[in-house]
Amino acid sequence: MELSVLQMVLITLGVFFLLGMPVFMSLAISAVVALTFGGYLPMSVIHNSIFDGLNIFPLLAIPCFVIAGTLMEYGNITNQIVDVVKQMVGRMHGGLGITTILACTFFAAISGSGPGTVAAVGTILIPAMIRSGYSKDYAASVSSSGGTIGLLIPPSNPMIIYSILGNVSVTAMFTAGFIPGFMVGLVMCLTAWSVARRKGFRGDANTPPFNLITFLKTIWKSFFSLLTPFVILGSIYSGLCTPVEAAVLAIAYAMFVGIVINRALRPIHIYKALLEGALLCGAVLLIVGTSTLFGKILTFEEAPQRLAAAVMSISQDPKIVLLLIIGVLIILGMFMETLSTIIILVPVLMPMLHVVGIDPIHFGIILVVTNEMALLTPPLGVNLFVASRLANISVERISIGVLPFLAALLACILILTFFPEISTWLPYTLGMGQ
Amino acid sequence: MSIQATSIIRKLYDNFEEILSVTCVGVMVACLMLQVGARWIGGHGLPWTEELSRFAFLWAVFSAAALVAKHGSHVRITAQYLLMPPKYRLGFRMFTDTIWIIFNIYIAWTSWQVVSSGLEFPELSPTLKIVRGYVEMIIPFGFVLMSWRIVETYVIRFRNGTLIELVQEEFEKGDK
Repeated sequence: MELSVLQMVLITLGVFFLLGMPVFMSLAISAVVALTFGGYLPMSVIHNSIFDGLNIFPLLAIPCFVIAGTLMEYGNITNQIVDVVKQMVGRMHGGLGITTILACTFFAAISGSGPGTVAAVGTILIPAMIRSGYSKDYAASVSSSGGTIGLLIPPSNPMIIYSILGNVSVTAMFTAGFIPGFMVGLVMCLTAWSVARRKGFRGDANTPPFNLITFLKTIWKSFFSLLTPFVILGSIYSGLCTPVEAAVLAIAYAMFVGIVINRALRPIHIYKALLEGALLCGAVLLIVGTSTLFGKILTFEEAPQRLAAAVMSISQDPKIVLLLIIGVLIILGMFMETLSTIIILVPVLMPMLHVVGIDPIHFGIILVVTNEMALLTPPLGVNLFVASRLANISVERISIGVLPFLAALLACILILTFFPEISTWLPYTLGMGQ
Repeated sequence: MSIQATSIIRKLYDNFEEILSVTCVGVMVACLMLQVGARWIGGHGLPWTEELSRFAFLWAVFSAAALVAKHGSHVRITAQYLLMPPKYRLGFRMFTDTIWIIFNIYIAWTSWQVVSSGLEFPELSPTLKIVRGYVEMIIPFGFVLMSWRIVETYVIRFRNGTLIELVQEEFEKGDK
């Protein structure tokens, strides 16, 4: 049997993924195979695609949001946000669990990354939960689940990548994520509460009874920290800032609060934050470079059109097509890291959406929420790894602990699939994304 | 050469991707801040900051790629190996990494062809007037450096007898 170039490319990619070749290199090698056997493009396309793929200005927002998130952690901003939330809900059943989810939601509005949120909030709340008699499993699973909300609530790095690759307005995506983000946050809180009730975890004994004066004092003390999400989201939603500018504003604001107000930020912290940003560039954004090359090959081989034809032969109903994609994403998500999945799939899937008639904003939200599950599903669930290190229990035990949260997420995904208005209403009402 | 000088060179050699990538990210952030500041205060941005920030970003990506290779933390799928004893895993890992190194060199070579032909007929960037070839040189350089750091990591781990830790997951290390 004679293999077509496209078949060779896909087999090569599969084999190298299985061998454990770094994702960026697997993509590059498959492209080299196509160039060698296809012979229709010069080898210079390797260099040029990698360069063009990274020479995109909005990409710069991604390392900037990571730097901002790290600075907020060192500058005590995260700490103060947790403190305020704890006073509000700390005494309920599973109060610290709910605190964790709410603090993650708040923090998500500052940082763009899931594992980053788990690390920032979990570092403070996992030990606190264990001290208050919650099980390690619960503490770790609540924190890793809370960390997924970061993807949906803007600013969100996966959304930026999706917008760039899918040619959708970043601001429209950010606006679209607002309502689904809070919906998922609320569902997560309910899950945290009901699991805690069943297991008999009471509220935080160390939190004194609610006292309006103390509460107001805490708010006053943490005023500038609490303002952070409003500054960042406000600047994006008002149209004052592009995402890149908002990311820079986030860094500037984090430095202002960390240095001038909280007096906690030292030069070494700034260095560490910049290093965090650099590491993300080298590990994740490098994949954007080689995937641009890979995408060019796929386009040449008309892979998106063929995939669309194959899917259309199964069903032409947009809802069923979406469910099929969700199924594939959940399985891929067990083995792949969120941003890489989006980087690889979006160029392939986008042309199909137009054919089937799926709204690109609606699809973006589904893609991002489904990828939230990927952060929680073993064997590769980055949030689980972070939480396991913080709580000092095995990944297997957390994987069982997060099951109720996964079920909750799945329910949210289905609701969002069947009611596209939840995602599209806000951006279209505000006249974006047309 | 004095001992102090060699130790400085040693430190530089060990950390220079880190220093380079952090500097690039720093330059990138500084340029973006200047740009936003200029736009808000002066009403219009400074075109050169946009260009420089993009170039700094490109340099950050490829210098950090080598740094990430040194840390062994490039995104890869390893779950399929979990049921395999570490010794076999190490075999597969070394095999895969060898292919990786070969392709690194190959891509660096094709990339160098493009860059060097670009240097023969220099194309200047619009506002900064930098020869594009010099900016793009980081791509072949990054790929070569990555290979170098991969080999170096193997040598260091072999000497310290920690080769097997390369293929152990976090939780397996904790068991000991």
